[in-house]
Amino acid sequence: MCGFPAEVRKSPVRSNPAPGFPAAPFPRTDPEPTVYRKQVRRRRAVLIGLIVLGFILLTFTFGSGSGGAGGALGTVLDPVTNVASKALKPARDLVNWFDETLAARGERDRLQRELEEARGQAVAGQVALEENSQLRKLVGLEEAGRIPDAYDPVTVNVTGRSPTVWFTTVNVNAGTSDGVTVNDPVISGDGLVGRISSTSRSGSVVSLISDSSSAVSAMILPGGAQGVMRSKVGDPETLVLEFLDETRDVKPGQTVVTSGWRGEGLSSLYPRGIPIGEISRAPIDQREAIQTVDLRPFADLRNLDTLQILTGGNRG
Amino acid sequence: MIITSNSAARIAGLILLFTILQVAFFSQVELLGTSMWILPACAVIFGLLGGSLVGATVGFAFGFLGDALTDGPLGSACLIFMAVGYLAGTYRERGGEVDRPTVMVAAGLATLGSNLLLGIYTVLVGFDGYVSASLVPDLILQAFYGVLLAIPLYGLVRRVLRPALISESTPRRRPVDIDRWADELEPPGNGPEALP
Repeated sequence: MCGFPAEVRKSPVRSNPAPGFPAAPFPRTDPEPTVYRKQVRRRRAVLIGLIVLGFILLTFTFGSGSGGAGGALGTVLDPVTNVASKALKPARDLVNWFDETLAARGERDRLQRELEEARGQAVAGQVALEENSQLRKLVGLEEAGRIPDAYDPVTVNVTGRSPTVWFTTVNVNAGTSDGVTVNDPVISGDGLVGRISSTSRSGSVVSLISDSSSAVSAMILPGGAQGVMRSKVGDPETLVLEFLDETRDVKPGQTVVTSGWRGEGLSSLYPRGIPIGEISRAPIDQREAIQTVDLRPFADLRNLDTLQILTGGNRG
Repeated sequence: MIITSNSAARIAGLILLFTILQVAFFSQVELLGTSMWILPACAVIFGLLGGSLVGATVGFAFGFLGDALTDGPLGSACLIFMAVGYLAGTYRERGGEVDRPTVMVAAGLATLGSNLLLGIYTVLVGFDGYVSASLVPDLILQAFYGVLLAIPLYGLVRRVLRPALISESTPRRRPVDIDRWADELEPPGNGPEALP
């Protein structure tokens, strides 16, 4: 498997006789070129084999994550990753502390502005809640929480994260043995985070809503305009909501939640009413058929630690 | 690099260690809003130390393990890291100098190139999202982190694989200064000119 260094490969075959000795009647055949040819052949075979294997893997796992091989490896390595993640948490926290301190100054100013707005909204909300509870009693409806009763939340910790900016996934320390299945919605205390894209016995991979392949059916509140929320690669703090131009009274600050549609045997992967984020920029263009607005996700997708997987339940 | 069962086991251990460190540590820490991606730099380092075949094989293994652990599209990173390791190894086999600046530049270029190639792959297989302008500083920062981490990673890999490295196992010869040597043998005053 080892290759010859350049200077060995390029060294000429010695054909001059030693001083005092006559030249050989026949040219001497040095074994080095034969060995070298074998090395080159073996090297080519390995390289071609690896390239072919790479394309086979790409073909078999196209559009479906790492597939069976990834699941099998995950089953073996998830416990190791979990232990490593726990052991490295103090070091991680130390490095992240520097980053968070730098970001905290800008965050403080923004939060102060939001707090002022929120105080006003909270008062209005209290009034609306009181009104709502009276109306619910009137029509005999059960009070609905954010998570539908049919779901069984499993609390998990993040143990790993995808390194590239193109595929944003996180690893969590619960798998099929905890009842987790592919496409289960994942939330944090703030809102929607993503869905399970693959599972092993003791771990799962969560595809975040900021992943390039992510799409979530969503609804703007108030107003109820429905659309599809997509990611903006390279900026996990911004998502994009596409919707038809029927409702143009969309303003920054409005909340976006999952719409959780259901119909003709198909249903959304996410239950209705999970908060996703708030509209941060709404450049409505009257000439466009499909409008796009920017959202700021409620969940801090850069710093995820404790999450909940909504197992079981009915979709939509 | 001389590949024996011992050195192969060391290489496998390093691959596993770096991949788990990537998933459990480097991906989860952020500096200036960007995480660190050490796997392309690792593929380069193995290529520079072991040659093209070792670089390609180890790069493939890094890609496979990394994708398998993070549910990435299996095969894409394998091919990209394989190319990265192979190119680094080819550079070394053609007599290119392997010193600190080379390792740092190669690691930075590998990280940036791998990110761009993964982006091209994502677009080719049907990318359906939006791209933010802040992607560019993210890519540059990640390449910069690759440059910074290249030297400690290179030192670690070289230390672990030292018994298998051809350049490390052969003793270095000191250059001989003939004139100085001759001067030391014949100090002034002892030569023929000193005779009456």
